[in-house]
Amino acid sequence: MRIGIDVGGTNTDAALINKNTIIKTFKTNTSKDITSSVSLCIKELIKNQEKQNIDSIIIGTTHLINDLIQRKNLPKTAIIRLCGPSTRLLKPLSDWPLDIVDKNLFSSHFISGGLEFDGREISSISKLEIQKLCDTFKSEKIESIAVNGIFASVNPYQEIETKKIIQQEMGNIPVSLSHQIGRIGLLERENATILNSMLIKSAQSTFANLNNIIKELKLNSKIYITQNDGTMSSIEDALKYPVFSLSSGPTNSMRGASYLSGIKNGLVIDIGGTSTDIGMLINSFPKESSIAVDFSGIRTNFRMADVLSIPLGGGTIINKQKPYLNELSVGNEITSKSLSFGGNITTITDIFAAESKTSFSLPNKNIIIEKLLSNNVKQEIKSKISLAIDKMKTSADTIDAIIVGGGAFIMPEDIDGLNLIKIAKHSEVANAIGSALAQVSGYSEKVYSTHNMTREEILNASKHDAINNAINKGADKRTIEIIDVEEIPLSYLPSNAITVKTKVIGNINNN
Amino acid sequence: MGAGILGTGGGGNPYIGKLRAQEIVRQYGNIKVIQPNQLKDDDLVICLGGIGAPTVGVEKVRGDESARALNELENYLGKKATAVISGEIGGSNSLEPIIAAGKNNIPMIDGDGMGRAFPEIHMKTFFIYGVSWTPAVVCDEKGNTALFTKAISAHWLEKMARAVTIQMGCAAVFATAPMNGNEVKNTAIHGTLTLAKNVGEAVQNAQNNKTDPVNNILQAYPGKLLFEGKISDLARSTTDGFARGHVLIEGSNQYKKNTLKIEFQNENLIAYIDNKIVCMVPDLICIIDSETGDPITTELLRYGFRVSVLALPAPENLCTQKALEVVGPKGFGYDFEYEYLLNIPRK
Repeated sequence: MRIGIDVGGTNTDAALINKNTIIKTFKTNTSKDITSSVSLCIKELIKNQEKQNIDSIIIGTTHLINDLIQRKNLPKTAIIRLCGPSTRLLKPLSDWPLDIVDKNLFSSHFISGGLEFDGREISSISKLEIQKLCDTFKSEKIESIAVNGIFASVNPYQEIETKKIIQQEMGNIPVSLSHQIGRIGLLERENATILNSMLIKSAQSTFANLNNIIKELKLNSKIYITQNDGTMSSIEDALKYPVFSLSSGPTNSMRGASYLSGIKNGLVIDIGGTSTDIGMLINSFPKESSIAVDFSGIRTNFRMADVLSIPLGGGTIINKQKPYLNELSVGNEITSKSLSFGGNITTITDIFAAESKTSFSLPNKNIIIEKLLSNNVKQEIKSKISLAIDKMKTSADTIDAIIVGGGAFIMPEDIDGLNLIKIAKHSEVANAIGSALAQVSGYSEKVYSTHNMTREEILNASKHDAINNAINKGADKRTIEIIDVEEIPLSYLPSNAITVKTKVIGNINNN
Repeated sequence: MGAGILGTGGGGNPYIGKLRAQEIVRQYGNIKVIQPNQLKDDDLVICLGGIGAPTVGVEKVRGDESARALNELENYLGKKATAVISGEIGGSNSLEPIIAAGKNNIPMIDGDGMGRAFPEIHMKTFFIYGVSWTPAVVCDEKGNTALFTKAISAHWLEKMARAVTIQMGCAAVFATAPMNGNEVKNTAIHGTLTLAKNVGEAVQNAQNNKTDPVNNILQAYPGKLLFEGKISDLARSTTDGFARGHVLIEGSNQYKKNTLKIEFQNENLIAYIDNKIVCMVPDLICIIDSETGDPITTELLRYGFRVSVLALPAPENLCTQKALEVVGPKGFGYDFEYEYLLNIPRK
């Protein structure tokens, strides 16, 4: 049996799942230290259960991103770029918000190293240079270090050697290596690596105590943390790569919706109070974003769910004339400000309440809305949602669309090309269920030269690389399957170089 | 953003170019821009641009190589350049000369050699109208320089320069087309830096004021809204380093019953409405996001995007008989002659 827990800003949701059955769910307020609410959830769910039957506990949380937004718990971080003479015009942190850069948190350095796209060295790394840097770091009281080598994803040996030298000099100081964090795109990967270094402290205070819960409750289970892409990692890995767990919420919600509806391929439309989030499921996993992802003003290239968020939800305020839908929502204050709750602001909820079409009952039942206004609002909802859906659909074919969220009642029934599916039960803990379902992934992205390898050899090399990556992260070898292979030739050049991306997933190895 | 729109689908992403230009301005102050007509006959103007694969350019980000490329060519010529000019205003290449202009404290010309983006070096108006493509240099960031003293055609220069660029690691900078003031006046496309800035500002204004970007763009660059609709099909393949293919757009609003097809080779080349040609290269075919006005480059095209397609008349000097042999439909392997199909006056 598995327990999935989603620690949100306000609520902590949990679900106990045995193979394919939901045994029990539980919801509580989120405590200041996430440990006590997680502990409470586990205690509730394991009542009347044999403790040895709980194999794994999988936790998703938004805690790290809050620390980042509030700029708290951030360590003094050093950034080393292995670049030799290349790329020196744009220093690390070039496109970061000034309020972080000016905090005097960073120490940036260019040193020898770096590779060409085909793996040749731009220059070799110098042990002496790195040792000297470490002396500087000691006097600067650096707590965490990010290392980024040009084309490190083609061959990571320079980054690995650099880390070895640093730890010889500085003991067990955390060192984040870019090839383990991001993909091709020097600045975006560097940004992600720096973020990782900055979150190490925060991860310590968030995750490190979780293992104690297990001891306290005398459980034999293993704890995992969910990641941005719908997979999970061990606590040990989450402490090393906290950046991968920065934003797992949207993915968990989509994975949960997929499970609850039984739909593996299709859209998930999550309509809340202030926004509607639309994502695409491919083989039960969210389709990933191909463009840069912005985190609190920092541009990165994470592997993340491609979710389109539009300002439309149950609390959206209605204007008196065109456009009838305001960009703003009454949000949490719907229970005091909207007509249905006795307030004086007309919201989308009120339009539907007037026709008794909401999914819940409301205090003020005598709302009268003009038929014309109601029709106009519905038409605008339809065109807004259709537009967003078109942006997310990948082909013109009719596809399944799973509707979730508290505002699901506003979904128009007659959008072309959609087969609407509503979830009957447990949709309020979809995120926790999504956490419980997380799997282990492996990934590889490298540029290969077609001079000395055939296409088949290249694809095989990429597959092996991705599978080994998954096994290293704890996947059961027998369950690993390849879910995506992409080949991208380098354009504007006669093709003798090719980028191959491979992604695999598998179940956790419980032994 | 303006450079992105004038890139007509090609030219790469200007984001890193923008960061680099901002850094140079931070270090060396504002860069002076002058008009071609302000040049004197004995001025020396050199054309600068990036060469290589865009995928490599985002990883091995270029530094100030263009300043070195400029100096190397100056040394060979025994004369200092008085200004630099962009070879291609479309896409990421448009900002390359800013680096050299800032470091050497010389002005940049308000103009370029394409008025848009094209895939190859020999497609610049400088060469079409008789400027010599040699001497030329290609420089990398490591300090290597290749000097080309003689190439029997601009196309040959292109081939040799690319071979060197691959050895240099696929992201290099070239300096070519040393010109005197008169040659720039006669062969360059004038005012395109200002044009790109105006087009970019038009889109930003539309985004800030939530107005229609199409109208704003067409005021900055008079042309025609060709089509509105949704991308319904996409076919592409990469051959010899070029992204070739076509995109189908299903019409909406007044175009509801029609389908637009655009054939591209990195840049958008020919547009058909219901199989009838409505715009052809070198006139500009620009695909933008209907809502935001952001340019959509060939690699970002995706099913379901709501797009507006603009046709902008190419500058006069891309449309002479001489130019059309190189940058007209025949220059891209089509067997028909160029025809101007936008019934609006060319600027």
